[in-house]
Amino acid sequence: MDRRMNYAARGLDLVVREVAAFFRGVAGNNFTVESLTVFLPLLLLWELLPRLDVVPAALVPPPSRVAATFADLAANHGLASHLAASMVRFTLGLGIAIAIAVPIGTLMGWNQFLRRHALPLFQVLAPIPPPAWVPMAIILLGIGLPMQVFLVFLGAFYPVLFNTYQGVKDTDPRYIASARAFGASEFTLITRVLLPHALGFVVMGWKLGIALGLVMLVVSEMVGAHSGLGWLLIESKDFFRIDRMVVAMLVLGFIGWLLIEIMKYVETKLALWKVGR
Amino acid sequence: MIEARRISKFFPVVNPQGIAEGNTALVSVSLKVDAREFVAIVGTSGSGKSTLLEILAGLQAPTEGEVYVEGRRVLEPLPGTRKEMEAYRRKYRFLSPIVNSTFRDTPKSDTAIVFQDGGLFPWMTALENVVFALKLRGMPRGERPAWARRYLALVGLKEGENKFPSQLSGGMRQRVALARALSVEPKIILMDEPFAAVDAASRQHLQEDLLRLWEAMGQTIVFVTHDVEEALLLADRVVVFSPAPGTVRNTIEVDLPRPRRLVRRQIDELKHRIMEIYRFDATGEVLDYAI
Repeated sequence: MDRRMNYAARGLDLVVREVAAFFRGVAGNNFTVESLTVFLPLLLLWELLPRLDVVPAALVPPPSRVAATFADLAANHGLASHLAASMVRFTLGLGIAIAIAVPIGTLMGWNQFLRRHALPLFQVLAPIPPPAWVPMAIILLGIGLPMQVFLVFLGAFYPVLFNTYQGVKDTDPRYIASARAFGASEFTLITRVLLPHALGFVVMGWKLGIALGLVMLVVSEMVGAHSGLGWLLIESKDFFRIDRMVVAMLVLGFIGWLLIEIMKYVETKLALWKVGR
Repeated sequence: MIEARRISKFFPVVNPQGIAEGNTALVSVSLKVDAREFVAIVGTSGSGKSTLLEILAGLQAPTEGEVYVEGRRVLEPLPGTRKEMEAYRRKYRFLSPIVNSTFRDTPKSDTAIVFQDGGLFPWMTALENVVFALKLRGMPRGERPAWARRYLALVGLKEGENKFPSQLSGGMRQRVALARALSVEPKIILMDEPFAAVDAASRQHLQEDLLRLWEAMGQTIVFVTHDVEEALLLADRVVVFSPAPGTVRNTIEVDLPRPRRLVRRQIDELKHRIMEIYRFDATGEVLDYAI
């Protein structure tokens, strides 16, 4: 019991330290003092122009107004529940996409037989812009979670698939020869040689998948949802609440930025061996 | 013991016009290496000597011929008749013959291999690289690190076992690769230009260490190099390859005492002889003495 507590404490300690390191890195990389020379004047202009009636305040809500709307939405109109609904859809779609695309990409990169049979299918389907699937998804899956998850999945699937495939296929033949010469089974080869080599590509695929997945999340919620940030956007349009639209946009942007930063952090953590180069 | 019988290798290539072209790497190469023998294969670049080594290791299938290592055939014999060819194609439709068992780690034979550079996995530390090879040989987890450290120390790598290959010098990387090959206690070590990418001072050091280890442990070594002097300094027997397509041009017994740096004159004579062979192959110039 004591030992288990000890492990739990150590695990918690590790998590806290990693999160702290993450935020230190994010703060250091993104918000430099130099960047304020651009941010501050822009914010100032955005605040002053509507207030001085240079532009109509109804069309361009100043930052102070946006902040007030944000507080209002969060307190009285369930911004958190919209955010949660969106994240459920997004996480499910992205998770399924990664769970399917990484194995398929790995197998296609590893084996020529599978590559020759399966790759052309994906090469035909991938160029179809994901939003073009929207009408079909609505008819086949109706309006609801399956359709939203499917659309996010479509956005994220191909970038993850093709990056994983490329990374595995481009593994230096010397590494493969070394592993095979020492008797590695093909499973060991895949897990210990091909995937570690492809890791950088795989994470790159995740990053692209996150970006496209978010696009598809907004699209799917705009056309077929009664909650979520995309729905909030389109609903605000109908009520001419530009301040709410700006809040929704900023929250979406923040989510995308945060996820990409997490991915970057994961990348540097996993590819520690590249740092020495 | 290695026996290669009339190995030929042809790489088929179909050009964009759909016409089959190709590249013949090896023509009817026969090679016999006795136990505890140190054989060097020298040849100009592109003479197919690395291809031969990969065929010996079972990493490539020969187009013709067969290889026996310790009396066992390295890869399944190639089909002779049309009917056999169909069965062979069917059998290897999904996976090529050089592919290993799907889930079970099966050390191929009694061979280990050292590549020129980059055979080490860059995402594993020096120690992990050796431990990985031991894992593939089915050594229990607990014994691996100590065993690996012993071999790293043997090749002279005492510090830096936790460094990644990119943090080590070229010479150190080759020491780790050598330790990895030795650690699995193979009867045969195949070396593909192992010291070609190492600076001259480290190379001499590595060569001396290799000889010391070979004399102590007595493996069979097949050493591919383009450096004639290196071959003569190390090997019992030097097999001279002709330029592409590779065939065995000549075999020279180097019956000189080690360390050979002390018999400079004889080494230079042999080197001159091999260079004459090269010159004859390149220009057709008649030699002043018979080979």
